[in-house]
Amino acid sequence: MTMTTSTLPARESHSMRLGTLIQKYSTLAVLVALFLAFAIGTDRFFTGTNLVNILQQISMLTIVAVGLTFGFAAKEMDLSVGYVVGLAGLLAPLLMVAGVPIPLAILAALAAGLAVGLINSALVVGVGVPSLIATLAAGSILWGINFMISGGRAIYGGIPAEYLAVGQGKVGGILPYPALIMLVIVAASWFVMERTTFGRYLYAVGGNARAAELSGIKVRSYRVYGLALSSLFAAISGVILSARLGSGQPNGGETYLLDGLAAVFIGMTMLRPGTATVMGTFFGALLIGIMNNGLNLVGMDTYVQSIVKGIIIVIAVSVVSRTTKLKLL
Amino acid sequence: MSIVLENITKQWPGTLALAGVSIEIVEGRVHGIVGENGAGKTTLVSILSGAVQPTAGTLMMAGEPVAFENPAAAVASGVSLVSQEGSLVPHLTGAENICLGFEPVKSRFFINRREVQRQAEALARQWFPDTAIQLNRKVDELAYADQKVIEILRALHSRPKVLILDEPTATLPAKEKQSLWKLIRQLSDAGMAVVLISHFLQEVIDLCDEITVLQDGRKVSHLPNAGHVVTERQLIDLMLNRGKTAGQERLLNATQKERSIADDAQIVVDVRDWQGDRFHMTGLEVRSGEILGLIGLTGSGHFEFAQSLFEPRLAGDGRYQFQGHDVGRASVRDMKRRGAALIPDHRMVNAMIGDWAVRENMSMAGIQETSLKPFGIVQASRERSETLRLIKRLNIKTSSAETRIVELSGGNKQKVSVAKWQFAAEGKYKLFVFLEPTEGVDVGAKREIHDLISSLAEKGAAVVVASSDLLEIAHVADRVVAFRNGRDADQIARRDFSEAVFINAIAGVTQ
Repeated sequence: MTMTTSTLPARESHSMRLGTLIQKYSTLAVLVALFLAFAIGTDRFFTGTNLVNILQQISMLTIVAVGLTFGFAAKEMDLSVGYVVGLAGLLAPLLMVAGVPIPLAILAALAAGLAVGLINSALVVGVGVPSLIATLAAGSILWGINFMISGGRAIYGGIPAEYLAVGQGKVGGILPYPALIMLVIVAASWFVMERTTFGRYLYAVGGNARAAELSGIKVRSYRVYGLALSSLFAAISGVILSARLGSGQPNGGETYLLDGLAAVFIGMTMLRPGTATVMGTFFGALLIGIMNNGLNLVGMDTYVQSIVKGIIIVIAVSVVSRTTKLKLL
Repeated sequence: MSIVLENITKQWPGTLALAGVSIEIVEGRVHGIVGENGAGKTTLVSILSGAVQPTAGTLMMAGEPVAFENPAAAVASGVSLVSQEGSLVPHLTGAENICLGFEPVKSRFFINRREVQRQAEALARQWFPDTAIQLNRKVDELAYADQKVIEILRALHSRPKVLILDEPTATLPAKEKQSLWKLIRQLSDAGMAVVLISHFLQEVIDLCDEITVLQDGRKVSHLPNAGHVVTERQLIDLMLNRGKTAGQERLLNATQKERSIADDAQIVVDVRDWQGDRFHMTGLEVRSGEILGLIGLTGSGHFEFAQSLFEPRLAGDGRYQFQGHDVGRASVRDMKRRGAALIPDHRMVNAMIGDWAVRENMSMAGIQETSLKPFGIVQASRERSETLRLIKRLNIKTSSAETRIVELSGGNKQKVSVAKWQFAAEGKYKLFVFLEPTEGVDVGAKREIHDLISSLAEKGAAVVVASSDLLEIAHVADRVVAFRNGRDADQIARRDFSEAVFINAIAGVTQ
């Protein structure tokens, strides 16, 4: 190789590194800026109670989004998560009202979520339907099922108080259980994805399925794991949601799909740009949580929040698409 | 009108795809361009059709220099390409496909169907007056050869002066090829300048008035072929014979020590009538410590066979015993567990994850060995030290273990691809299959990779190397099997190695 070509890559990589550096931290900068703006702009934002409140508000969203992250790592997108939240959130209260013991009811709701994930992956990995389409169809079916089993009405009355404590109780009177569960799930998921061979293989399958296969990784299995975990985490979120609301709502989880995707996309702009990471997703959910909370305190209408959120998704995805080869289909 | 390429050079980062190639394409003649994979045919087509711009050199049309900034500019100047992959819209008719993008309209909005039909018919009548072409049927209902004719007519719609046909018969069943050959002749008889890229050498000889042979981005020969007198053997010789052109004959005659493989060395690979869609191996044994070279023309099945030793599912039938045990239709994972390893070609597609660091790519196949069971907790320090050990041992030039793999040169990427099978796996793998081991690797690193291959065999592994670089095979192999038309045809022992013998075996010439 000639001298000119050997010096070229070094220079390119230097400017690239600067670019990624700016990109890696720009999202974090936005997060800090938002935080400071609200802290200065309104005196009700930067208080202990409100900060705990934010953690509580984002807990269910974060759990769904971390589930999505497992799917994204294996390059599978799960559009059914919102309805799985709804399904689990209905099943648990329904079974309890019918007299099933609490632990069994919760287990059944989680099992239902896992089953949806396995059906999704049978379609995607077994039949070969793109995950985007398979899970879109699954979502439509689940929406119908949710209304069928609930008769279109909220399930409440007769739900045991111990169950409600899962969503409404606090550790030491300070940290709400949902926030605690979220923190445990984020920490455990981070460990699994960043510190175990399971996580490494999942990312390998998403990074280059052919290379992973030729390295002896069970590509098909890992695609199944990605989709199954995505649904399971949505079901966990659904159980917490119903405990927190004290009722099962037939359309309870619908907002979590879009917000969850937004959290993942925002997360993909930081840490390892173009790759969905647990910590990135957590920061993404935090950013959405802070924004929702702050805009609420400022007195912004919910529909304005929706517009702002949409714009943020577009910006995040644009940043990721421009700098990396983001391919989701 | 003719188009002249003068000293066209194309430099990609790290590889010289074309080095000062000059070709003259003349109206009324079919100009064949042949060469092995990587010879520069694709780059040449891309430059002619405006998809790629040359680094240096000039294109001349009618005595004037021209520059094609994009494919549309090439078409506007009168150069049309019929690409290798089908470019038709399957559920539109032949006529609709021919006029696609140039539909005549009426009332400003509506496609004038009658005019579409008329234009297509006129075009077909003009070029192929005595051939019936079905323009009214959806193209996916047509025979492959007829689809190709529609593609050609579509390229002719812009009234080109030069028509490039890139592997036009590659997708055609044998019996449909002839009808297309006739039509290609008719094009040049009617005055068109035709460029034909094909790796079916007999087809090139039968159709072309002149033939240019490319090798490693250089034009090695230009043969007039009036009366179709060029022979297949002659072409293969020019395509493959690197000795004369690169002045590296000494490599072949290198007095490398002949490795003696003990008769009682373990038989690692034993295949009988092992066959897949595109290859048939009648019988072969590879012993521990032996390096077997596989040679053949592109598409002759030696690559597919080599790959099937690691991916047995690629074969449908026959017997394959690995270390004395039947393999059946074992998965890749299974073969890996039994001790087989593959260092594939196109390494960024088949072996590497571009976003990942050197460390992560290197540990991809062996990381479980350095992890804590049963949960597979990665021990970062062991992963790192093992990576650093291999970087040092294989002399991999990288600024650190955390450098992204894409920042490494081709040779160093390839070393990582080999190191992957040595990560925490000393002596674990008994078979290494290499496909194009030095593809996109510069000369210095080439030697190191050859040494690496030899050292694997010296440590007792069986090694199979499939390569289109005959000098490379001559350099590393103890024994060679040549493939022809999907079958193993000849075995050559090391003492008989010479470029002439190799080329004879590939071309099927008996001495």
